[in-house]
Amino acid sequence: MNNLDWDEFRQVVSDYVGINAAEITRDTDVFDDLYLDSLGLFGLGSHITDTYKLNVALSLVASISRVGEFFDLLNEKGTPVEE
Amino acid sequence: MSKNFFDYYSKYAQETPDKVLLRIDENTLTYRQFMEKTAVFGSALKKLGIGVDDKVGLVMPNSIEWYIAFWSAVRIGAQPVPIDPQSGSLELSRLIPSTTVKVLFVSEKYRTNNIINAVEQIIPSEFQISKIVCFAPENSVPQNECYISADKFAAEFGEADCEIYQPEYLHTMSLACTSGSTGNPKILAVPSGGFLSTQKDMGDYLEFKSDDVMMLGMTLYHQGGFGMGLQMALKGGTVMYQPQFNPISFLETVQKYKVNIIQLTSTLAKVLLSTPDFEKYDLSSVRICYFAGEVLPKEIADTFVKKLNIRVINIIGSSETCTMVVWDSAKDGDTDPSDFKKLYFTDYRVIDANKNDVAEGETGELCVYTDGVITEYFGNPELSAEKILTDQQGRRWFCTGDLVNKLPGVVVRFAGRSKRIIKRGGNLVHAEEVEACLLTHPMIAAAAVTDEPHPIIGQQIVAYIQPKGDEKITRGELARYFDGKLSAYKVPDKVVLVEEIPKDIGKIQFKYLRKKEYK
Repeated sequence: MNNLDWDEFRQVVSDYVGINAAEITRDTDVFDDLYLDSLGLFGLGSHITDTYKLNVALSLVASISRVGEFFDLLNEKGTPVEE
Repeated sequence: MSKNFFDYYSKYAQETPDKVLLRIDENTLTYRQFMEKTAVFGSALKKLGIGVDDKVGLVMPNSIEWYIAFWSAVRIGAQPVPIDPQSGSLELSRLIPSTTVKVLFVSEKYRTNNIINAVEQIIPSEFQISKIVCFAPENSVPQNECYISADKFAAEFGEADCEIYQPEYLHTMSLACTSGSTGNPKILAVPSGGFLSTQKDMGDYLEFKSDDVMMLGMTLYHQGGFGMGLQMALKGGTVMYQPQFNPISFLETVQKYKVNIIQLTSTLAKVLLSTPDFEKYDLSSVRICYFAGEVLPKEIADTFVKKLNIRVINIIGSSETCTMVVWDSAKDGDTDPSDFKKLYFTDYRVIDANKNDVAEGETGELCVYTDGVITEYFGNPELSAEKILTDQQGRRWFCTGDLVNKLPGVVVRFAGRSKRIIKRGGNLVHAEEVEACLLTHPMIAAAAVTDEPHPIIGQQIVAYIQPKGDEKITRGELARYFDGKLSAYKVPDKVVLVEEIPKDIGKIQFKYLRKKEYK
């Protein structure tokens, strides 16, 4: 468990997708509400993992559809990037 | 008379009628069903008045229905026109008149794109089409006489028998669409005989067999993904696609159906290789991994060749050429996968701006000959004359826009693109098309679109925006604006606001752009 802060996390998402953080909830759909396509989801994944310096398998990112799932994935399965 | 595709399908339908030709998830189409269903839909099209050379559009994702609609049109000599199911109303409003489609087959939706809604915005208000056949429940079909459900279409117009059209060698089998660099679509006229012979030759080269199973990561509505699958279908094998790429189900499917050939792009391969417990999947049935659509990094090729003991094929070219030049791990050993050689049924030249061959060691544009090179850009004779060269033997050569270095021997090394094309994953995005859409935004004074390297998707789209006044324009704002107008994959990944877009004699000066960024 990485003990990530939800408000900080959605701000990181907001910085990438350009949608106000206040509009982003756990149920926000990455495709319908953030207007990402599947490659855009990997772009968001790269941005988040770079920001938090955590690694997470791309194949797990590929099956995500909501922001809350992304938060849980990073919190539970993110492993520190080796410097 | 030369053979046509239906000669192959008919033969396999007789020899192995219950064999699966196409599998998409758990949905299957056998060779016998293929012949039966293309007869029903082909005869229904005929009854609507569709005949030889008429255009039949398909706005549908990977599905059994896509395959039936495509081949039903071919069966009667009409020309299917696959359109990206991510297309919004803006793209459709260009493609429908440019392709002159008379009938449209559509699915209800694909991902977030509600296809029927996008079509309904422009038909019949802007364009007249004789019928729009909807693969959707009755209650989703618009209440307008030109819309009809596929079930009703087949029941009311279809018959069990339908004659098979015998095309001339140069007859246009289908039209393939790309978005075009300025928002004007490029529409490729694919020749029946040449397309067939090139796909068959490639299947022979790769030693595909009738008991092989092939799983593709690229899509049916992409000319490359469709063509590579055909190489297997022409051998009487089984072809598999996914409704949408999912790495875990891809691996499970390969394992479950003992797939022999997998087809990927570099991005899809990176995603697959990152799957937790990747090494626990049994991939021992896989003989070939077939790459196309993106630059293939050597480390990815090495993973497949050295760790998994799978032969890797990497091809370069374009939708306009069918199969082209290749890198083949079985023959080219430890060389770089961006070093390509021609095949026995293809040829290449490396040319300068005056279309003369460059000297060894120099860089020029790759020009490819295959028998499947398009005969023309439909409705665009100027572009056809610029890109398609015909030699003294009457062979068509296509100027690909790829820059290559002519190395000693018979090798060319990929060096980039000659035009402003962004290679985002397996998609080609024309910077000018995105700029044109941005400039319609009421708060944007000027815009310049370029690419930036990205570790996963190859290149990402970066839009430099000069807003009107003090407007703060975000990627989210642009995504909302693009929604329904252009495909989601063309939305800029990154937006950078600048004080001005530097221009010189009207051309954007990209080298000065970053210095203009707001601090």
